[in-house]
Amino acid sequence: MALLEARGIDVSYYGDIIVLNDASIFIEEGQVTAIIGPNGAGKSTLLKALYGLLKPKKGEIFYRNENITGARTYELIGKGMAYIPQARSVFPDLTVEENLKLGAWIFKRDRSRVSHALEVVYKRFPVLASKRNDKAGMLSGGQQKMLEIGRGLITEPKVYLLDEPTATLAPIIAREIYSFVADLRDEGMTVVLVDQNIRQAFEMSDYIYVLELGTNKASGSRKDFAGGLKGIIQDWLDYDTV
Amino acid sequence: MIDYVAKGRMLIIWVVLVAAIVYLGAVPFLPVSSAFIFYMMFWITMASSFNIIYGFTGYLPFGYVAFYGLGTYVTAVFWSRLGFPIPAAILIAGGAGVLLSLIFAPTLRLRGIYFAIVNFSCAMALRILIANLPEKWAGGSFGITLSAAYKPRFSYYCMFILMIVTIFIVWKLSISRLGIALRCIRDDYEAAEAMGIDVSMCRLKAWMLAALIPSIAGGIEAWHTAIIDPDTSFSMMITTKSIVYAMFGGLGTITGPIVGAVFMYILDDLIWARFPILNLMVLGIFIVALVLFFPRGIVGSITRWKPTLRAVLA
Repeated sequence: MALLEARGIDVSYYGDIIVLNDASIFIEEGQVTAIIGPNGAGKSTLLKALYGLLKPKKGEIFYRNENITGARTYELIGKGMAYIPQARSVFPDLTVEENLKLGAWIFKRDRSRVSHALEVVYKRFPVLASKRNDKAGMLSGGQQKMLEIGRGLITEPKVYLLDEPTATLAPIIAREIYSFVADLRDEGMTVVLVDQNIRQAFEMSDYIYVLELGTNKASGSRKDFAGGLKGIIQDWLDYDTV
Repeated sequence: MIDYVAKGRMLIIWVVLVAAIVYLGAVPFLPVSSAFIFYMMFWITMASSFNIIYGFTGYLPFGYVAFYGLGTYVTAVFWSRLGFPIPAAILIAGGAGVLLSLIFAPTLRLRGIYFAIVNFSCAMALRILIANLPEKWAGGSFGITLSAAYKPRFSYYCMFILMIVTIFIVWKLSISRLGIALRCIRDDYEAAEAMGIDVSMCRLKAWMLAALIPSIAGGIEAWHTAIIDPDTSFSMMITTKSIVYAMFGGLGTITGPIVGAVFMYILDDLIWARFPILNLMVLGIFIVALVLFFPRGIVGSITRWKPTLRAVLA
């Protein structure tokens, strides 16, 4: 059974700029699913649609066989979804702890639940615990990314949507972030990963979707792609130079 | 260890607050111009309410006067044409302001200058609509007189209560979940949305709140001046002064709009008295200088200079 599934969705910006055109994705529970593709393929748009930030014009989205098309983001968080946007999304003027508490927004005034969730995150990211009273804007790029990941984990999600978690980070920090993602996978969390770093995404994932110009180009398990990845990338390069 | 400095500061704040409330409450019985103080309280209310929408959400409603103007007209029409008692008419005006904010709500999709322009156009359209209504309804360009209802002491206390309620609302908002959500939305609405904050609902709540207060203030002011007409009810000066007073004090803070309104209102009055012909030019020069030297407003600049004062001022 798919944990999360999009069936033939169309998504457009400002009414007529079509980004996704009949795109489908099937996310198996407990797996890392990577979405790869050239710039403008609609990878981030697909994640936003799955997370309820964009409403599909056509098609349907299911979570545990429940139709969640058009559901609001806060409802989806309650159902067990978390998401990290591509752009930096920490609030620089708030402290680390305040940022984490914002992640627990849907818990409302349930203080014991919030403080328990905070402790869980601090245990996983001790660096955040030591900087809990520092302004988030004072953290390094890698620490801010950890804060974002931690903030997503605070609601104890079942499926984690990560949009380019290592973009703009130094390779050594990126490796650290990938190892966190690997930990999450090993703990049985379902992860959907959009990444420009195709080789790394490929190594991390169980299943891969290739998007091009908003539609499904190819998909298969890592084994299916073994050896064929080079051809796909060559295709994009040729496409870009046309 | 007890922090005596912080305790001392809080004590000073409370003493000032209680003294101000006692003084304002006693003004109608003192040999001072109660009209002068009435308008000071009016501008504190308008600037504080403007702060809710601009300071907390970042929306610049250039047609802010629409809510005030509608408030004056609804109060006057319900009292003079439909025979409602003035307090009821003022409350109806508040409801009408909220209704108008719901009609304008689709414009909240716009951002920045586009929102400001569209909001300004909405206010101008409302002015033309009201000015062109049949004279027996809204008095046309002559307006409506409320002299039979004139009770300056009552209207003074109504404004006094509205001002206190408005300041209380801003204070409550600044520490509430809604206030936190609004500030997050203002700083990064996509991140706020990703965290499960209902962005459109929070914006709508702030918008309705920011419409309710000027509508009631308009009603009370109409009662106090006892005459209204389209030119004064929809004067751009209402919007401009609300913006300047709130910004000069410091947006996004509780005390900012209060300090800004008191200071600028007194300054405005002094300039009027000293420069009867060039007053607007002198005031303009003052505003330019203040924006240049205090870009964050008085309270904003003080808290930046001494962050420890943030707890008592902001």
